[in-house]
Amino acid sequence: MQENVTIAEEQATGSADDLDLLLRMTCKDENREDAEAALAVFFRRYQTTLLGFAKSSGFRVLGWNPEDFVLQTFEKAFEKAGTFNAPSNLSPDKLRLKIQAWLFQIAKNEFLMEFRRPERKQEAPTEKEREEAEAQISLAEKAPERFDLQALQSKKAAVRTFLEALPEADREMLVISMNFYDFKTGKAHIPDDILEGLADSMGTTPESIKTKRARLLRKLEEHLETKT
Amino acid sequence: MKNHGENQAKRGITGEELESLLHQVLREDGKVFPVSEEDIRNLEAEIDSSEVENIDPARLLARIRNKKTEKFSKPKVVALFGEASASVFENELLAMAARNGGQITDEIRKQMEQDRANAEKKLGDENEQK
Repeated sequence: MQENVTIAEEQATGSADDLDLLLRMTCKDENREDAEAALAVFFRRYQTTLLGFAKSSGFRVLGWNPEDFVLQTFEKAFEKAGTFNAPSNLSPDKLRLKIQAWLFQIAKNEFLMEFRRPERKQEAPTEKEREEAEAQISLAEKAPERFDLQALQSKKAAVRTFLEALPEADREMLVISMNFYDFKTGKAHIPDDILEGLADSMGTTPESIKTKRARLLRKLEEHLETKT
Repeated sequence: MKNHGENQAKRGITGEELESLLHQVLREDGKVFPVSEEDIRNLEAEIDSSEVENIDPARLLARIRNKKTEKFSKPKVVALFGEASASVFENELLAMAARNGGQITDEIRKQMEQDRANAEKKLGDENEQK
């Protein structure tokens, strides 16, 4: 494709606002070059947070390349640009957060898809799954807390020292498992098919993950009892 | 009720509280997928953007264009005889991409060799007649 044309268009697109970029990405069938130029600018603006996250969240233990993960997410975002939805009167800061949240939603879906059985990989999230994901967001905003602020801060500090002292593989396994935290039940729940895929990626068995995870949580509990 | 409260205090923390606490810490430190806008702010604060080496957008565009080529391009035909174009090698790569990087099977290879032999024989016969 004519790289020069795209670069020139990209330069002309640099000052466009985010909604304009997303809108132009949705018109990829009518004007492919313009859509790609918009994507390039959008990618420059938003890749850093996702890339920083992918590099620091234990994906190495899964044998993943963080850059490929980010590229795959933006590729999907380009496909799904039309699904972004936000009120028109948002401040630029709120809009930026909304876009980041949308990108991370796509990224999490790609993350889950990687572990699904091949026959389920192409399935889009069902209406029920979408509703449950939205319910999780509202529950996350008001997490119940029994501890007063000081006790809570001390417990959080103890959790951090515990995590830092863990061997890297154990820490990353525990961290990855917490991506399946369910705010309704207050526990992480990894669906069976995803657990199997996860175990494959880690070169272990689902049972071994469950056992190791339970053991690590017991150790964390003991650590909190002695340190707080 | 009092006993229950005392037991709870003695036990320190329930399984749910433990996981909730761990999850909160991981969210604040940007280690698990962010759920709320607050999580995203935390994550942005955690990431030192000067230490993140950004990816060249050209790589993303190349991925998207390759996908498009694979999806929409028609099979390329390379002439066995006559002038080979400069893009033969490129076409070979495209053909390999169309096979998802796979090799040609023995069965197909045998058929191709048979076709080539037939075409060469035909060409040889034509030259002899001239």
